[in-house]
Amino acid sequence: MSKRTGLSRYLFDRRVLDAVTQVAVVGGLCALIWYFVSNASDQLVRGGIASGFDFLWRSSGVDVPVKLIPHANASSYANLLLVGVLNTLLVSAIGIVIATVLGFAIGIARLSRNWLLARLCGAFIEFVRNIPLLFFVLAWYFVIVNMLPPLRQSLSPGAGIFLNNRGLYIPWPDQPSRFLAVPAAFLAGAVVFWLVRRWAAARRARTGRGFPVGTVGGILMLGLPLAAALGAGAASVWDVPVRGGFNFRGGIVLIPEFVAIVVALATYTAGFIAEIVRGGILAVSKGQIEAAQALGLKHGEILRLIVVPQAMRAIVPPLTSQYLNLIKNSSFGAFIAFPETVSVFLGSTLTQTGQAIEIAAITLAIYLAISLAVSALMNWYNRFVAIPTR
Amino acid sequence: MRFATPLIAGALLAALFNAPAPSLAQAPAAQPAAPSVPRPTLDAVRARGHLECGVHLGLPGFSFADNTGNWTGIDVDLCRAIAAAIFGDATKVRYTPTSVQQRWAVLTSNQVDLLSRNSTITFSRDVTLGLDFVGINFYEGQTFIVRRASGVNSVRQMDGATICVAAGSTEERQVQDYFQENNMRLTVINFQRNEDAVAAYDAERCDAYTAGLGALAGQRQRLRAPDQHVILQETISNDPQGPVVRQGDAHWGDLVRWVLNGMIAAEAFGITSQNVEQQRASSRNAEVRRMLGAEGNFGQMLGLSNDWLFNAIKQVGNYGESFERTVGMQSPLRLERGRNQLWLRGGILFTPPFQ
Amino acid sequence: MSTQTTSPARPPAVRLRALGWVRANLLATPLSAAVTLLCLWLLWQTVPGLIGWAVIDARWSGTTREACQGATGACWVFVRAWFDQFVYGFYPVDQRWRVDVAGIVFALFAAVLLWPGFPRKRVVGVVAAVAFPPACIVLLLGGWFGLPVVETRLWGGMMLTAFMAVYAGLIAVPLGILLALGRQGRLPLIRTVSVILIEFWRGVPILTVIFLASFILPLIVPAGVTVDQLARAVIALGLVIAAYMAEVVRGGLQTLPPGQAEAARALGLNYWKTTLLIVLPQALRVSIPGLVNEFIALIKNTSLVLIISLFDLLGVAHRAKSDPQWAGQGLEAYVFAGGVFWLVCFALSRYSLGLERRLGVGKR
Repeated sequence: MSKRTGLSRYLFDRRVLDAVTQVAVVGGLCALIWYFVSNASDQLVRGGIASGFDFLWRSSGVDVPVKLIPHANASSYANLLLVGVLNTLLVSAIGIVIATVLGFAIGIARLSRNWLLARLCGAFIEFVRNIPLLFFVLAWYFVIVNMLPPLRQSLSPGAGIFLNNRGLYIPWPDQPSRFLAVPAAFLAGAVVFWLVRRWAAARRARTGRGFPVGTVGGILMLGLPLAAALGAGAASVWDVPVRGGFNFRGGIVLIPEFVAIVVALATYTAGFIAEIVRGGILAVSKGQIEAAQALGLKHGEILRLIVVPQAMRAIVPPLTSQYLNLIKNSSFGAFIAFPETVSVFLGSTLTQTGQAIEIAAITLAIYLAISLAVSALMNWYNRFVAIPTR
Repeated sequence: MRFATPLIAGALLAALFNAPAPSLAQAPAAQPAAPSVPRPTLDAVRARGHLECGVHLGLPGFSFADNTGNWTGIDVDLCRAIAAAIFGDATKVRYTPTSVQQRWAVLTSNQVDLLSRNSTITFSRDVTLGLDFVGINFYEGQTFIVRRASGVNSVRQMDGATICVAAGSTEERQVQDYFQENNMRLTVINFQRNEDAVAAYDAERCDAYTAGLGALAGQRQRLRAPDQHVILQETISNDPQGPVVRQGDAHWGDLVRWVLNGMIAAEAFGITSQNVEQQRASSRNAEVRRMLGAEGNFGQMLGLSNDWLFNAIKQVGNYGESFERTVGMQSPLRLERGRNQLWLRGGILFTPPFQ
Repeated sequence: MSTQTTSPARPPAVRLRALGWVRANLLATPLSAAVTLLCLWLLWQTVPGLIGWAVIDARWSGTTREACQGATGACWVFVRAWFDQFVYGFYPVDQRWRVDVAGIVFALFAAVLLWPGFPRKRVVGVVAAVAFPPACIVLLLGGWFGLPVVETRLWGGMMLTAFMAVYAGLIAVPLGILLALGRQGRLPLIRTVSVILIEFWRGVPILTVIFLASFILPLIVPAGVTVDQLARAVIALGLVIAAYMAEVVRGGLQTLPPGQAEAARALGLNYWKTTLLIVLPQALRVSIPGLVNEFIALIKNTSLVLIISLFDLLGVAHRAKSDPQWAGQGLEAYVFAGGVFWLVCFALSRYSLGLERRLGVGKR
């Protein structure tokens, strides 16, 4: 850079440079995208390949073994897509619940003062984190399909439950909607618990007297749903699987593809969550705990009032990205014929219609939308656990 | 169509897919020496020095690579014959194995010159995918492979069965249609990869695996105990399979079609890889002489040398030779000629005349 | 592994110390004792069976399926029979020396670069980054210097895994750094573009990206241009991992006090000089453990190429299990492939942890 005079002074003006750089980069990107798009449209036109989204309303001719909404082979590709997306969400939701419970348990146990337990949990974490998820998906599927007995020699622990390499057959109630009472009871319990907690906190502030909030919460949030489940179960007529021809009839079946993907996702992600939980707990400074001990708080109270709230602050953001990973990883179901989004849409639909660009756009948009929604949800939750004053 | 007799269906299809033939027959009259016909694909193949052929990932009898990377199969033979017709050398082919999902994209994006990959000709594929099906080299019919121990010997006994299938194949749709029409229940497990569907069937995840009769004979070789499985002989569909080219290069489509027709005609005229030289020298049949380049300039009309079919048959053999060697009685698949027999001998394999 | 053993109250003799340790760490409370018992029971249930299957009852020698007849344990003969496939895939037997050479050279470079405090690391690093990658492609692919061409579809096994991980990494690291700089920079348009790119690639499953790369990439390049199947997979992996790496580097950039860049500016350095000489060296030093972790994720994700019928280490295991000549085997192949992945990833994660600790000591 020489003396900045005249034109060069103008050229080296920071604002001009900035503008030029930005225009160059963005323009370059746009040019690249335009180049790609023009190539693609060129190939589509020259090749006489159909384009547009009309194919979504055509009959798919594909039926799948797992579906949450009605679908038959005459239903449209759009319906098939919806089936796939719902299956993705189903697997993800179940996976997230199991992974969270397992991950928190293992992460806390990893810090246990019991040496053996801590080491075992450490071994689990190290085992799970350093192997590709695909290994677990394929291996679980292989174990279920190849090592469980075939249909003829089904294992039956009784109560109309059968286990073989076609899946786990369980009785199913005539009106599953009765079981909506369970989440309802849980919600009711949670609301009551929240009120009790507020009342207890207020009383503690007023009188200094404690209240067994945890125990009451446990009874409310576990006991109520359990009672509801028992009630609904007793009121239902159960459709019990019976052996018929090629298969069991009646009841419902958890197919191996479903079990393998859920178990693989849950255990794999649990390993990562456990590590996050451990890190979060360790991040709470020792001084805080010592101060709490000095104040005479009991062990449980220290955990509940000092450690957990602070640890959650460190846990929630990385936990969010693990949840997102799990949702994205549910696409691994495509390897084992589980009909989730990638499998039914990028697989069956793409091959049958050949409309790669439209299908790519829809699939990516769906995953982006799910990711954004979960991020938003977790950010909203994060605001509760974050330090309010900042 | 499913219930039409195979003969009628086959004849109809043969007529349908050979429909452009008249226009070719007129071509010499309209423009005797036709150098101005655009031949982009042939030019590209020539410039490259070899043919790019899209094949199956590995289906014994159709397209299968052994441990040394050497490809064999009836679909591979067609690629070799085309290479022989263009270059006079059947080895100037490179094979691109393609999955069920990839095959159309690989073709339409110009990565291969043709697909010879036991692909069924269907309306929507032909009309919407930017493809042209230019002939039939194998009349396939969908059926099932079941375990011998299951005692099933007819499709109608499979009510309630669980069936493994490759996602995105014609079989995936046909099996559903068939079961629905016949008021039978089924569970379909759709695998992204054919091999996985076969493996899952082998592990008793499914009661049956469904594919074409010929394909099943090939896949059976990969099962743990091939003789403990039965391939049902009744077929639930009519799946004519043949080479596929991109839409938009009519000349290339003609070339591929007439090499295939030439192989079939050669069998009809009794021209084999053994006697092709003698036939060219001494045959008195005008059609044979035209095919083999002893008379007229059919090769040049296609932009090839006049010994195009001579080379193809000399190096690859006629259709019957290819069939027997790859999927027929001389192969582990031991398939009957069945519908793939010449129209002269009770099959539906047909070729228009070389005139 | 950080242990948080609470030191017991110093017993006088060694034996007592051991006893004290047991009491403090295994039997501190009745609950702890119960947990210990439960753990022991769990180990007793699994470990002997596992060792029995994998070692004692396993068959090690032989060449055919008959060698495993009647064995209740693992059939490692099967893995041995497939071993070449696990390493080279279908790479032609007489050309495999090329893979060996590439592997050895790569291992040497890696050893030197990962060795803390090796002299002249920068020179080696430049050679490794500039000269090695193209040379390695020439060696493996052939076509020059009289080497016969080996098409990429014949590649497989560990060599494919390593190849994809390394080359996707070579795409991802520079791209990730650029994206991170863009996101942290002051130019609003570039910041927006970087954010969109990063969040897009992080928001979609890698599997879909690989799947789509095999369909979309051929469509968007000019007609007639073919992009190799393997190249497509590597590009897809590289793009996605770049977004994840960008976030790691961004984290590194954020740890730098702004004074550093401001001081450099005050000394008259322009943006690129400030970035290259002052900001990046420090930010990358902090980011290396995170980058290694992303690299581990990359290694694990290479197995996804199975969906487009490329057979990496895990893919070979998947294929081996349906080998009709070895009917009934399969778990061994998975266990072997999983074991190799575990060793590599575990070693790398330990390395990253060690780095983190060393860097941490220097920083705080």
